[in-house]
Amino acid sequence: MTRAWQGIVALIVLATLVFVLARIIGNPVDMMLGPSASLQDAKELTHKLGLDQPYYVQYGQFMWGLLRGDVGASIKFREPVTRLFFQFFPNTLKLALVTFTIGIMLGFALGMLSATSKGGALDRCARVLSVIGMSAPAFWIGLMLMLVFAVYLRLLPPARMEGPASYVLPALTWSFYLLAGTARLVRSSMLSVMDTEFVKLARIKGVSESVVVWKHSLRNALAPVITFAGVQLAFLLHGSVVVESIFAWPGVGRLIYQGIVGRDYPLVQGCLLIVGCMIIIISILVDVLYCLLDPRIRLTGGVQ
Amino acid sequence: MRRWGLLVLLVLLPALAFASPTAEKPSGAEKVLRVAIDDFAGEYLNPIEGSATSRHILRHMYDNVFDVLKSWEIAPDGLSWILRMRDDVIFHDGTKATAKDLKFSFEQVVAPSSALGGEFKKMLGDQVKAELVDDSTLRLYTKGPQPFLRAMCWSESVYLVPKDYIEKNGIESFRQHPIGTGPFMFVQKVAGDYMEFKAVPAKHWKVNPGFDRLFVYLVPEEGTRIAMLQTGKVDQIGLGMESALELEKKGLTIAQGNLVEGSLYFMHPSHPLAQSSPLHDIRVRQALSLAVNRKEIIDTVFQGRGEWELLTPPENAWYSDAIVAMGPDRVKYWQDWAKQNWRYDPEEARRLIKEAGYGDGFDLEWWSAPDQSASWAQDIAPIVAGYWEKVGARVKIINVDTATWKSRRHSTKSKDLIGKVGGADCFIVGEYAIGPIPGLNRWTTKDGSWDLLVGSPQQAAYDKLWADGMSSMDAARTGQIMDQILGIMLPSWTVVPIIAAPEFLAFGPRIKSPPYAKLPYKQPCDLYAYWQYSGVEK
Repeated sequence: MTRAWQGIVALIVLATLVFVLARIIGNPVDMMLGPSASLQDAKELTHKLGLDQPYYVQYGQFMWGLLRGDVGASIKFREPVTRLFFQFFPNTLKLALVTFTIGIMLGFALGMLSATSKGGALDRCARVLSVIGMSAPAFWIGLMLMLVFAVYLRLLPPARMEGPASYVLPALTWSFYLLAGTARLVRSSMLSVMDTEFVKLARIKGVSESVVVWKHSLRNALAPVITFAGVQLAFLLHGSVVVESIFAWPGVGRLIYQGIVGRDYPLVQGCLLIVGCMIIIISILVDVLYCLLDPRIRLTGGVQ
Repeated sequence: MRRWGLLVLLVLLPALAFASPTAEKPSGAEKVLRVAIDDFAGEYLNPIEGSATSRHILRHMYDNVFDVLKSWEIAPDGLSWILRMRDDVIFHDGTKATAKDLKFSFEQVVAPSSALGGEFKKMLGDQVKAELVDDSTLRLYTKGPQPFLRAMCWSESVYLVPKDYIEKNGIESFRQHPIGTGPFMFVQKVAGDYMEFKAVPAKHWKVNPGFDRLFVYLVPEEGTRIAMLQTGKVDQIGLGMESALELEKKGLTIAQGNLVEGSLYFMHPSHPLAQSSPLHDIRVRQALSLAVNRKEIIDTVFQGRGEWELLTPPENAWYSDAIVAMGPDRVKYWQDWAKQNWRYDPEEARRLIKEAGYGDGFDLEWWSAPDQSASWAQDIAPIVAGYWEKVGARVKIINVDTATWKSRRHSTKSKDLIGKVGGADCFIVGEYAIGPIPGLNRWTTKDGSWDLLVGSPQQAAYDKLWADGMSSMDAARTGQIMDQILGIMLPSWTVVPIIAAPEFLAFGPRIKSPPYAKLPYKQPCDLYAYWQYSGVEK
């Protein structure tokens, strides 16, 4: 319940921030008018859009709209923002899920291999890969993957959302960071658990190494990884401007970017708010999952 | 158990992703053209709500209101036009277009929902006054003599829209299922992804489309467009100069489109707030023009594919007619003026700067913005700045987006640009290679979209000349007015033309003979007009 209240407060703060930030980026009127438009045209259109009203009036209308579940209509697309968002969102969601799965699974495998062969060649390779994944820019990775797998090898489509094969390159590009982060976290978490007394005791008692790794170490190393994964999943849900632009993917990240470029207040506000809601809900769900995994943790009191 | 549940969930998640693949599947028997462009601009295909959506797209669905006329004439007093429609103009729902639709289209232009600009309100009034003479003839009354109505309809892309269809189905339905009279009809659009059109089933009065179906994909990244072209996913892309030359070496077909002219603007140099700016001094502005080696830019950056001597007015603008009306002598005078004054003369530039008191150098701020008409607009900023630095200017380039630039161009909206360099703004060069008037138009009047001459004693005279010129029924008088306009604007060194260079298209191997590829570059071609004519090999 406390988390829910915190979520509502966060949403109000977010809505206010989004309202202010959207207006800082400029005015849509100049982008909407033709080149021959006069000052009078600009004034008329500003009035028509209600942008000549004081900010507190605009804010009040915006918040009243939110209370009624209306985030407005896009200026650029001439469609309700909610409809647009949920037209684009499935595309981002699909890509995000594939990305998440690739990133988490490969990250897990890499992290575990790295932890179980600490100091070895495999560990060093995995750590180098993690550093590259964390530091290489997505646009570079994307273009390189496109060049190799689409242009040179002709194995995969270079861009656009056209069937299962088209997910591979954008998902790989997008998952690099997630993969690297997960691998590093799994490795460090596993190493710290494998160094604890209960794991040592298990080994002394003759428990097989696979049971030590899978049952005793991994289970206890999961909590921080799940928190990280939850945050990353939430992060993925608002799309990636870079990946979606490079791969011509009609997702939410690109939609928000188009809104910013066109100074489309309602579009930017609406999309950010919906994404914000999702992130808050996911955060709450992660807290609940965290609690289920580790019964010592209580939502209100932390570790008892 | 929970662990396995989690694992199953992880495996199922990507499977869900493929549950509803999106893909448009053209029939194998059709001739299909697939084009990738970088921006749809506005995403709505309703031309009466705004001009933001790319004209490259709209022009295939709609016909200009003057395109569908078999004749037109302006009354001797200039207060009305008689517009006679062709008999074979058919909307995509099969209904015949009549003068009622023509009247309705003009009404939409001045409607509150229109974003086409107040020039039409000045011409037609807030309410269109028109009478239907018969089914195919309309008498349109104007607010005062408006001899340039036709030119305005062309330059602002006023399209014929269906009265009955919109009134019966409503504007929302028209947004979702727009119909026009152009050679291609709307099939579907996936916002932010692609648009699909098909050729009209019957013979179109204007053209016979060279293919059956057209897909226009939104692919913002140039690198991605090139990869799609190389892998055969699209047949045609727009691309920048450097990439075009590289692909040409690899054997791909490259075509050059219209020349696009780029000009820089010394923003409001006569404004009281610009007095501390070096640009307030006309000698500095002139020197900065003399410091730029335009020919070198064309020869090196554009490998000779462009113009620098004879910059020409934008396509279809009314002042093209006005320039013709000046007569050949005056046109030649201004052409010679341009050759003389837009020359490269760094010594003279240094002398003028020294004379203006800036011999020790000076700081300049340049707000550089991209332009939809020319991908190279922002790229030439550092090159020009390099020339300026050789004559003592220390240039700070601030790259801004189009919206930032547009929202600050008028001195009453923002003081940010006063006394600074702005642009480049680019215009498609018209087919009339007759005179030098870069960026010179009524938008620069005081109530236009940017008031370059604000604070100048000549602003009032300049504004009056434009007003008079727009309503002049006497061609000789129009020519004189244009001559006077040029006499104010060009020697003010407020607008500095740099170059006119082409945009490029690359074609994939499926297209055997792009119609414009073999044309000499100086012959301007419309980048996208050939969609209607090209024979695309399957």
